[in-house]
Amino acid sequence: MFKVLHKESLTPKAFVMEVQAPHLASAQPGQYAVVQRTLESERVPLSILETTSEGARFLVEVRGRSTLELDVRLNEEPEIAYIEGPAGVPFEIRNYGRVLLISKNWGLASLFAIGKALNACGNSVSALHVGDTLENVYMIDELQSFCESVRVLTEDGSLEEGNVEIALRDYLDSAGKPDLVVCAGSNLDSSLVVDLCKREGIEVMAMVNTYMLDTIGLCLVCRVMVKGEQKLACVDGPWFRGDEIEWDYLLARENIYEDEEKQALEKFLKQLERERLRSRR
Amino acid sequence: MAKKIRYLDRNKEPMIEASERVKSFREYALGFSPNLALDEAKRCLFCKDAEQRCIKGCPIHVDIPGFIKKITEGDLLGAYKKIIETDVFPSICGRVCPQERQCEGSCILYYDTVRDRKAKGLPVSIGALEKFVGDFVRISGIKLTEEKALPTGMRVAVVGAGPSGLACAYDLAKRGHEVHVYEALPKAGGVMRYGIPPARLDREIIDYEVQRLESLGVKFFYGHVVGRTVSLSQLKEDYDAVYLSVGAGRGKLGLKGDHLKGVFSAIEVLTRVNLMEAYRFPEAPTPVDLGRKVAIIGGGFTAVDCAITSLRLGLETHVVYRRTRETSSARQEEWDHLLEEGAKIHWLTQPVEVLGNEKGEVIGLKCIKMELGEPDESGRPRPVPVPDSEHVIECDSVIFAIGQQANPLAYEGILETTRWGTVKVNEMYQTSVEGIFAGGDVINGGDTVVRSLAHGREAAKFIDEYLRTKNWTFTGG
Repeated sequence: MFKVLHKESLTPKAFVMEVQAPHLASAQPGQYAVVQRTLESERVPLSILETTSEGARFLVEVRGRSTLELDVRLNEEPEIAYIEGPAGVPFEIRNYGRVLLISKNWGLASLFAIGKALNACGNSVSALHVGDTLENVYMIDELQSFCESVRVLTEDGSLEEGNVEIALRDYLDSAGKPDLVVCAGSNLDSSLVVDLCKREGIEVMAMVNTYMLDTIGLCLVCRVMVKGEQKLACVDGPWFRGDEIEWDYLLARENIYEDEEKQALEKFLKQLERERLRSRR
Repeated sequence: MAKKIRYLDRNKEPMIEASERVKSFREYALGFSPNLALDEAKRCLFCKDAEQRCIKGCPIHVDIPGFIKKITEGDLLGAYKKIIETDVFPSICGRVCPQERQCEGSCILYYDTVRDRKAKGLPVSIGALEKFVGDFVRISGIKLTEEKALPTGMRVAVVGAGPSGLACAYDLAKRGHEVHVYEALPKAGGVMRYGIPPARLDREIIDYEVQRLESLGVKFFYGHVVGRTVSLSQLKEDYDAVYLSVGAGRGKLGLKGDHLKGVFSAIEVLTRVNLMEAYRFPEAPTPVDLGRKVAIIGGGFTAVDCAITSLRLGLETHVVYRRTRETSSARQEEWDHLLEEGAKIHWLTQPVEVLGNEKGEVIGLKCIKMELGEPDESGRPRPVPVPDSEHVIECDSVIFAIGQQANPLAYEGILETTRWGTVKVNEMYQTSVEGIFAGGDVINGGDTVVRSLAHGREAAKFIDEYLRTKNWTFTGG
């Protein structure tokens, strides 16, 4: 059992938690962990926001059944049965020059540690964050602490309206080409960013979102095609050169379990509703 | 009066009816009752030269007549102790070993291995007897206190809690060493946990064996990915020796159309269902979606396990194998069980392409028929294509159960490997780095549970020797 030392809601859809898990202390920027609330829970990969003296912090956006389970159950009992990690290949931290981070929704969680480390080794870091709604906008103050400039947009117009493509174009117009773009949070949005970067001749690193299961290189569910070769997001990734990723392959496989995810969420919501009724009696 | 040799009256294990057993994942082979076991044990001739027969046929060399004798003497605890002198996990091996090609294949009632000729009867049901003895002790509630040497002060890290790692940990702990097992997944057992369906191996058995290890003082660290959480080199610094037993479990695809939605590695399907219990979805949150009809490619244990799984998910199940039943590496009786359960098995059938629709979903598997031709290097007749035999097996998903490959995550760049990506060792299980031993599938690429157990125990012996002498003889090459 791993203790959750601290949990704080950022918006109705997102929370930050700090877990006591000494084995995560060696995590490098760009790595992730796999969390199972109970041994029966789904295996949820979560980017490591930062390491702490006792373990690590995570930013979690509630997107489906298992992230909701974490949110609800951790309020009841701040314990996690299993945490695997750090997993994945660390992001290469060096002086690239000018770096632009582009995140969609929870993608910010994956970029946070990378941006911080890049800043610390002399890069000039800027960030563009796009949320679906205001509920997907969080941690902007922390982001500003290591970024030269931060711009936040939402797709529904609750803040300044826009999307990653618009944001990137505007950035290029006003600030010129960065030496490196790093993007995460949505395969579709990342593929648009990569397209634009390719046209402009900008180096881009992207995180791939895939289903993950064993996360140690066995089951191949997270397979992606990179430069015509099969790679595994769990052990070879999750970061790849954006221009080498075959995005169509990735996009075709990203919603294999969409129906089941809906079903599982509905089932869990019903269960929560029943629990509420019971406690009212 | 001379003892009458009971050639043919081999006792059968009671089984749940096929129509009933496909409805759930519970074990279908219910095991011998004490009386059946006793009667079966009495069929054994207790060959004086058993060393040349059943014991030789057993990869871990269990004293088979020795433990069967104990059963006939009414000493089941004695029988258990006899087995665990060599095989730590009788309940497991009794269930998952291919006995017909090992001990039972060398039983004199069935085959005279000394004169190399077929005998006239059916072998003693050694597997079922071993299972009986293991189960009896577990179910009886008797707590065996296993003897343990005084603490040596030496510490050993075992990487991977599969059969080989567990067996090695057991022996090292018994020899008084402090043993820490590092496992990435949330539970111990390796392929026995995520691969073999509970219908063949009830999970309570693995839990019981893991508890046995824990009571010997073995400590387990779950969620630790060696190669990421901690490097193999670091473990070598932190411990007096390391045993690497991470298996070779990476799935394999490899056919035109394997990018389609509905194409799975066997490992994915088995992990979803057997580790994450996707058969209880949506009560269990991890799903599996194989559609209505499944085609499983392969003819080994893994293919059988996939078929057991998909039949229990209620799906139309096809198994497609390019060779014949006789050359398949699974247990013959497993094929009988699958046929009883309604699987359609296509022998001598070579898949050539996974077919998909415009949405990128699997709709069928294109195959050609094969026939047996001239023998190949291994002496087995080589299957050759039958002209104009192309046909399509309609299916919604295709599972590749065509063997596994090395997963180098833990040892890449640290240990010398073979051209198959497995770890190079000498006959003492030593690798190219002093202090690091390796055994199980990580050195042989894919073999049986019992072979891995054997490696673990032998390696434990050499690790113990190394800890005392610090002799390292690996020379590479």
